Amino acid sequence: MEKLRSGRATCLILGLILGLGTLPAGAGRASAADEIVIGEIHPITGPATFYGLPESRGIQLAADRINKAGGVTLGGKSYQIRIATEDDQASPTTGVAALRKLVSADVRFIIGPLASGVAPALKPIIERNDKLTQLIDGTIADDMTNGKNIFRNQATASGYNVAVVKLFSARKYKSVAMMTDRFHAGFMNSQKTLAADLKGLGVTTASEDFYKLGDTDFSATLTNLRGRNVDVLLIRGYPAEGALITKQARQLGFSGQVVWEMVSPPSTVLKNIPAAEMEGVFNCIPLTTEDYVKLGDEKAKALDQAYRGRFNEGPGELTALSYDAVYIFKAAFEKAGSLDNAAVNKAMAALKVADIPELVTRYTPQPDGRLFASDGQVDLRGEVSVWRGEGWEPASLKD
Amino acid sequence: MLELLPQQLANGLALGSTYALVAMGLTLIFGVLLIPNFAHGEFYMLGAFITYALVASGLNFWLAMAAAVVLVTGIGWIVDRVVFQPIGSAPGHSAAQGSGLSMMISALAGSIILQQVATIIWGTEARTIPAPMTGVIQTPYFTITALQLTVIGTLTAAWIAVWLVLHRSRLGLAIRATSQNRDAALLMGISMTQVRLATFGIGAALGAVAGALLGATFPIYPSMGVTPVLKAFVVLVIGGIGSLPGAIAGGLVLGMVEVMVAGYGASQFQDIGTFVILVAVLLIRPQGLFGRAQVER
Amino acid sequence: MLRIDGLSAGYGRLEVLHAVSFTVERDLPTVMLGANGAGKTTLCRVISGLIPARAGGIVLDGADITRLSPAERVRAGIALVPEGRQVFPDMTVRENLRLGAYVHGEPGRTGFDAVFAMFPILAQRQNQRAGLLSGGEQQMLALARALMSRPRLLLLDEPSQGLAPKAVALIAETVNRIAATGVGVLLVEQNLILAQAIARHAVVLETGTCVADGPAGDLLAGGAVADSYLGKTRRHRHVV
Ligand SMILES: Nc1ncnc2c1ncn2[C@@H]1O[C@H](COP(=O)(O)OP(=O)(O)OP(=O)(O)O)[C@@H](O)[C@H]1O
Ligand SMILES: [Mg+2]
Repeated sequence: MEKLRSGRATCLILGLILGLGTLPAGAGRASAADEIVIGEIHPITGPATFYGLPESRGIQLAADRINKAGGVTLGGKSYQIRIATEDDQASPTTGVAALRKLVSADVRFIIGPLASGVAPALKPIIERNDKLTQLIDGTIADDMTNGKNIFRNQATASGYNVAVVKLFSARKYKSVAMMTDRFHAGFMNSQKTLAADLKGLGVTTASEDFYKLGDTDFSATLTNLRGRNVDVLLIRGYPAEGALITKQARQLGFSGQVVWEMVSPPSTVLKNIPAAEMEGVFNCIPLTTEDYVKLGDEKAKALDQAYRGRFNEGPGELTALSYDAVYIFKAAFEKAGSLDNAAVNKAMAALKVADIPELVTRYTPQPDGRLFASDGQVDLRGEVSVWRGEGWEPASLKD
Repeated sequence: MLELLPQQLANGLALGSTYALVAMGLTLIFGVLLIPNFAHGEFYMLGAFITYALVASGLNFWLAMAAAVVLVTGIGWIVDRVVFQPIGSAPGHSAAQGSGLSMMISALAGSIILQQVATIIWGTEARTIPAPMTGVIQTPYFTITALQLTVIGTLTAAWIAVWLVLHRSRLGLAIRATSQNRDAALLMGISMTQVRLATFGIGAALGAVAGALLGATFPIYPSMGVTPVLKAFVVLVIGGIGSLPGAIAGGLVLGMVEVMVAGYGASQFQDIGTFVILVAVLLIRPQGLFGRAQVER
Repeated sequence: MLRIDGLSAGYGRLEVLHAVSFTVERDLPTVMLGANGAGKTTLCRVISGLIPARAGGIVLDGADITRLSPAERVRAGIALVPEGRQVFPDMTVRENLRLGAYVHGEPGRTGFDAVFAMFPILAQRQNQRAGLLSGGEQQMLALARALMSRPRLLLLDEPSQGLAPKAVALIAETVNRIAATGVGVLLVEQNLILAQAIARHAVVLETGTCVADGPAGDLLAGGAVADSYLGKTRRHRHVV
């Protein structure tokens, strides 16, 4: 009797554990006749929610606006866009499962994923499937696109580094200590080039240290930093560790300049470090939705307002990217005049920045005006922003 | 480099005392009840989150921490009742203890469930408890934050308090007897219910104290307890399983080694240092620094 | 004073004791004999409550104690000196004795003095770790610890194990003294010398069944013991 009961309890527990892992998130229905289904794979729950949810919402907003304005027009016929949302929890296995689910529901256009861990897991599957077109609005790791059926409208880490180099040359820093998340493929792969670029400016890289997500004690590394007397501490990773390293560096008496290279929503930053300790920290990433708003960009302001009106809070750093992604797809569909993947791929590769006036993000066009380089990557460059008061703002690099 | 040694030692002491604080509760429960309580990491996590929630709603940090300790103690009892006791008394096991494996599995299940509950309540985003104190103490040789000093002070106070309970009270006598020989303790008329309540209560409370204090230093999130509890198991092996002084010495040794490896070696080898020392201890002194080799007479 | 009535018990699927019945009288110190694995230790553990009885009952001075917790049985007057002594090795001799009196609260001076009078060696070693005592001293401590609970019935599980003849004699003398104060004694023993020195009544257990029960003199002298040790099965019989 006792045994039976405990057996049932075990089953219940197991069921619970499994069940929680596989909560369905908006399964894709088969598409109706005059509907285009775009699947989006983002971390709606899990550790990267603060990036993923605002992306998913940006996609929803764009789709709604397009639909209200008459949808996508193909050969005189108009189609409504329907978004099928899948939650990858920033985990590769969940991401692959999400992709398979979309594929089996005959979804052929994918936006996402966000996470640097998920994208490489999806790549081989998508590359081999000629009934899929993917537009990545996340990861900055290298080699995620192929220019055939995989494109990306987010910057690469090298794009971020453009801003770092700009900052160093403007401020004439002489030495840098780098601390990098060693599991972040984008930062790890681009670090050598960055160090070389900085060396070209006469900057010595005094030390390179590596940590991982979830590390909490950086005191040994930061103590050594004090001994080396460097001008800049450059942190490349995610905001929770960024905040912690910044805090511990200050406590251990580091008085140089702290520079971040990470997408870091102020709300997330402030959950981990008091605003005062962030004052004056530089960040080198492409402009965020909020930056465009602060720069007075009309399209960004409209997006910001629509977002606030619908979700009662401001958009995320990456909302604009995801929002743009839907418009990029729309432009590609219309340019292709068909929903055939091969045609859409070709059209996407040929799109010019000027073809899509709705884009919020300011991409640098390729020399021939195209949005994507032949490898499917946009040219999006980092800009320097600085923490003032409660958040980031575009920095002026003149002293 | 050598002029930084005092600072690195201070860093190691501060880090080690966080390990020791987490390991103390774990070693108590393991030593007395032979339960490999993976859910200890979740006592730690809940201590942090409850403190966070109360501080966020305006309560003073120390009051919030006290409340968290009380609540987590209660949760500890529930976990023991729901997760561990049914195994201990299930048929097929001797009355003395459930088999190690089933204990371990249900501890993991308990740990996952608590993490999921915390995820549902608080989400997964990392955050930090506003620190109750922000000062930095500068000495000619090293710098240490007031909070780190508080952690070291709390560790000392917790050790003294637990020592007094164990060595100066009847309940402590019963707890120690149980840890040395459970059957003999039963024959003395010691109530296992009392010992369990006390041990789980103290263990969970220690976890909550650690969580509240360290949550003001490190980011907190639902799975924050996983790494510390693994580290704490390492500390147990280093210090000697079930030994309180061992937990403290083991924690400090581990903290020192990690800091020295990161400071004088390379930061990415910090974790490797952990396992090198673990293997070294297992080879040279398998019973741990403070463990006694088993002698049969 | 102790009546065991159709008692069955075991571990998991294995039943070790099959409907064991016998009695122990206060003025008749009783020895239980049986081959290795017969179930003697199991019986002691069932009587003191460490293992539940699956069937049958245990009655102490008219009160049914079958379902009581170990602690309640100690309070009811049962004390076991377990096989292998089982002292608390990392505690001092004094702390071991305090634990013996646990159900009565802290022992007063008189409590300690009584056992120290009986075992002067323990008085000398009272602040030493029990684990450092010699085997014989540990056995003294286990016995003294049991006495601290002021038992009505003392169970001893092979107290002579591993002891020199001199130490065995000392145990015999001590137990006899205790029995003389009106404490019932059930001694599990393979050492015939000790058994003969203490017991006036004997019970033979064979693979979990009581196969003989009678005055110690008859049983210890007769062939029952030897047969039982040799493991021959034989029908239950009364040698009276
Ligand atoms: N904890 C246990 N789990 C399972 N079986 C056990 C356990 N303890 C004892 N047994 C089994 O129960 C039977 C009786 O063991 P018990 O220790 O009671 O014998 P004993 O008569 O005391 O023997 P000895 O003279 O060697 O002390 C044996 O077959 C033994 O293998
Ligand atoms: Mg035996």
